[in-house]
Amino acid sequence: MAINVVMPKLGMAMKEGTVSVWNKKVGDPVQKGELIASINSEKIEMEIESPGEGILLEIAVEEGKGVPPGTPIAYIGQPDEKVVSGGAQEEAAASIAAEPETAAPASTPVKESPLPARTSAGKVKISPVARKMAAEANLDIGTLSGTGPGGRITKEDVQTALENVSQESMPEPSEQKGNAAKTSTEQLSRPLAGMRKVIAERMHSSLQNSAQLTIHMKADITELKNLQTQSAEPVKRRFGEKLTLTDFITRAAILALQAHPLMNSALKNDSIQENTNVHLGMAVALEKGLVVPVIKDAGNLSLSQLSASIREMAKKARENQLGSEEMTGSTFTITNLGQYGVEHFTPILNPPEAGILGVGAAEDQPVYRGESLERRSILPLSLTFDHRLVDGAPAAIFLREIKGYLEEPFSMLV
Amino acid sequence: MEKIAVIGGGPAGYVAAITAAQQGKEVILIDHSNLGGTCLNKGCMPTKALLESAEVLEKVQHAGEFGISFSSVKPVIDWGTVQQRKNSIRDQLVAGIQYLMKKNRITVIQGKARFLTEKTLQVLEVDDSEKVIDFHSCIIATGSKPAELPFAPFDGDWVNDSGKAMELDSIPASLLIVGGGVIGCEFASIYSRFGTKVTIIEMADQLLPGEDEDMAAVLHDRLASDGVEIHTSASLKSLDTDSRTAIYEDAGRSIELKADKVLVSVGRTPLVSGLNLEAIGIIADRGGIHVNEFMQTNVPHIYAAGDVTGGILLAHVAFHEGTVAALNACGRHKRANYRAVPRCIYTSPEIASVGLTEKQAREQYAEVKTGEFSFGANGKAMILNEPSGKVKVLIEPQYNEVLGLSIAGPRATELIGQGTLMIHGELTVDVLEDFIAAHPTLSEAISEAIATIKGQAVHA
Repeated sequence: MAINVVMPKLGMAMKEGTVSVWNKKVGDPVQKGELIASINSEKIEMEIESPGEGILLEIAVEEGKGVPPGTPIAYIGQPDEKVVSGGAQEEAAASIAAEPETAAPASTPVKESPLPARTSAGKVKISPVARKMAAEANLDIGTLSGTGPGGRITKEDVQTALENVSQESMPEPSEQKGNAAKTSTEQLSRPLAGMRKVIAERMHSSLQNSAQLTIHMKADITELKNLQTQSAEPVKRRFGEKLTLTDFITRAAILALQAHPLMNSALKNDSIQENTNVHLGMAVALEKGLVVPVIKDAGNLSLSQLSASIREMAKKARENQLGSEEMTGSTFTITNLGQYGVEHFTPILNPPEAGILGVGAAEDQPVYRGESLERRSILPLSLTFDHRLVDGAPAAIFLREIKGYLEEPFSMLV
Repeated sequence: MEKIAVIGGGPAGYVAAITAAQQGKEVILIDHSNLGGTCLNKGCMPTKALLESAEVLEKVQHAGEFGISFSSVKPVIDWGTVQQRKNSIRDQLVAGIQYLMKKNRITVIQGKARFLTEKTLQVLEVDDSEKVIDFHSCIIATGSKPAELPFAPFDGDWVNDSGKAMELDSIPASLLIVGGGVIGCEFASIYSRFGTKVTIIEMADQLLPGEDEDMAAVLHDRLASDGVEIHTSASLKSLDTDSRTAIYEDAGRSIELKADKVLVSVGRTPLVSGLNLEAIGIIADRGGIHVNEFMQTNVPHIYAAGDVTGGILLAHVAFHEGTVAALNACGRHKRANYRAVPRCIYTSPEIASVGLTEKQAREQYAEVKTGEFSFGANGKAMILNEPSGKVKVLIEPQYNEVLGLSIAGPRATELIGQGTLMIHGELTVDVLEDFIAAHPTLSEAISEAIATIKGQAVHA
C-alpha cells in the first residue's frame, strides 16, 4: 500500500509549511530515511526523511506551494501501485532528519545538531524513562537519535548520549586562553597588548560576529534581602560565611539555565552546540582589566558550595592566581556593575556563549503594591543574548524566570 | 534468488524460515523430526495440555465449593483420553506449521544436516538418501535436549526426561523429580493433582532458583499443601535402577527413597554435535554456539538462534532470535533485545515475571521500591476460588521506572503481559497514575500493587 508523506507540524504555532526543494522526481526510488525534500515554515528550514522504501509515485505539493501541516505532499509505494487519495493510504508523517549525516565527533563536550532539530523537540518519539533521564541531565531530546521501534528514543539511547558527554574531558580551551597572558603594561607608549589586546579583540569580534541585543527587567528583591538577613547568622555558624546577594543571583541564573538549555548553548560552524552542563563565567574587574573565572559544573553545586566557589574564584582572580583552565570553557556569564551604581546596561556577549546577565545596583524605591505604596528593594537586570540562537520571547521568558527566583527566593532552596 | 538454509524447525527455525521467505529469499528448512521442535512436540504445548486436564480435575473436585454437586459421583481420570487430547493438540499445531511452510513456499527436507563447507550442507534424509544443499547464508536452530545426570543416564523406563515424562503409560503412584526448576515444578503440579505422590529434590535453597523468593515461596506452600514433598538444598547421590531406589542427601543426612518413576529435570544442553561445526570453524562449546547481538556466529554468513545459542531457553526468546537472525541474514542490521522477556511457569498457582527480580534490582540499583498486593484482597480471585498469591512490582526512585513485575496467582501468565508492556515501553510509574483497571478483574491487583508504592492503594 502506498505510503502517504504528509507535511509535518514543526511546533504548535505552525499553520503552513512550504516545500522549498524536492530532492527526488516522480519515479525515483527512495530508501527509508533518505532525505527527500526540504521544507520551510516561516523562519525554519529543514529536511524531511522518507518514511518508507519504494518509488516516489506522486508529488502532491509542488515546490514553493504552502499547505497546512498534515496535508499529503507525496506518495511512496511500489511501481505498479495506484495512488488513492485519502483513506486507504498508510499515513506516515515525514520524519525530520534529526542528526547530521555524520554523527558529532565523540571528542566534543557538547551535543551537536543541525539547527532544525530544535524545533522538532515537541514531537519527539521517546520512552517515558528516557524523557525523564534526558530532562534531568539537561539533554535536549531533539538532538538524540532513537534506535527503538520507529526511531523511538530509548533509555539506552539517552545513556549512550550521556556516556559520550561524561567521557569527554572538560571543554577545550577556548578563545579565552589568552586572558592569562603575561602582563606587559610597563611600556610608555602603551601599545595594545596582553590582556587589553585580548579583551579588545574578543569584544570587537563578539559585536561583529553575532546578533546581540539587550533586554531589561527589574526584580523586587525585598524578600530575598530579608531571607539573606535572616539566614546570615545560622548560615555563617554552619558554613563559616554568610550568603551574599551575588550568590543568590548566580543560583537563580543557574536554575533558569537548566530550564532553558538554549540560553546555555553556543553557535559554532552553523551548528548549535547545546551544553549539557552549566559552566558559569563570573566577570571580575581587576586593575589591569576584566577576567572571567569559570565555575565548572555550577549546576551540581549546592548554594553553600556555590557561594564558596564564587568566593574562592574572586579571591584567586584578585591575587592573580587563576590558572588558564580556570578561565576557559564557560557556557554563560554574569557581570555585575551594581557596586558602581550602574542600573541597566548592555553587556557584550562572551563568545561563543548565547547569553550574558548584567546585574545592576539594587535601590530602594516606592512601589505600588495593590493600593499602598511600599518601600521595596529593586534590582535592575540586563540580559544580552544572541538573536541568531534565541528569539526575544524565549529570552524574555528566561529573564523572567531569573526574576521569579529572585522574587520568590524560597524557590531557589527547594 | 539468494538461498537461505535453516537447520531445525522449532520456534527459532520455523520463524526464521518464514521471516526470510517474507523477505523474498528462497528458503530450505531441514529438520530430522516433526516441525515445531521441543516446544510443540515435547515441551510447552503438550505439558500445558496435561496441566489443563489436571486443572479441570481440580475444578471438578472443588465444584462442591461453588455449589455444584455431583452427589456421590467421583471424578475418574481417563489417562488414555488425557494423552489423546494432548497428542491431538500437538498434531494440529504441527499441521499448522506445515501449512505455514507451504504458504511461504519454504522447502522442507526431513533429515539430518551437517556442514560440508562454509557454503554447503550435506543432508541425510530419513530414507537414507543423501543430498548436498548449497546456500548463501545459513541459520542454525537445532535447539537443545534435556541434560543427563552422568551417573544415571535416561533409560526411557525408570529414569525419564521431560519428553518421556509427559507420555507415561499410566499415572505413576510415586514420582521423584530431580531438579525443582520450571520443568520440575510444572510436572510436580501436573502429577500431584492426578494423585501421584511427588517428591522434589533441588540443590538450591529454593524452588525455581533465580526467580523471586516470595513467588517461589507461594508455590512451595501450595505444592506442599497438595502433598508434594520438597527437599531444597538437597542433592541426589545415586539412582539404583534395579531396586528403583534413590539416595539423596538432605541437611547432612543420607536418605533412601523408592519411586515408581524418576524425572530428571536439571537443565537443558544445546544441540551442537553432528553439525560438523569444527570443519568450518564455528565456535561453540557446552554453552552452545557463540553469537553476537546480531545472532551472527564467527563465520559472518552463518547465524544461530534459539536454545542452540544458550542464553535464555524459552520459546518466545527463540521466536525473537529467529526473527533477528533471519532479518540480518537478509541484509538488515537488527540487534536482539532481551529487555522485556516474560518468564512463565505453569504451575498451580501460575507464576510469571518480567524484568528484574528483587534481588537483581537491589544489586543493580542503590535504592529500589517495592509495591505488593495480595490476591486475597482481590474480589475476582476470590470468585475464582484462587485467592493465594500476590503481585510484586519493583521501581527505582530516581525516574520511577518500572524495573520488574512478579506475579504468583491465578492467570499470572496472562497478566504478566501488562508488566511486559510496561518494561518494553520503558514506562515510569507516573505514567500509570490515574490508570483505570477494569473491575472486577485480576488486573486490579497490578494497579493496586503500583499504588502501594506511593501509599495510595485503596483495597489493601
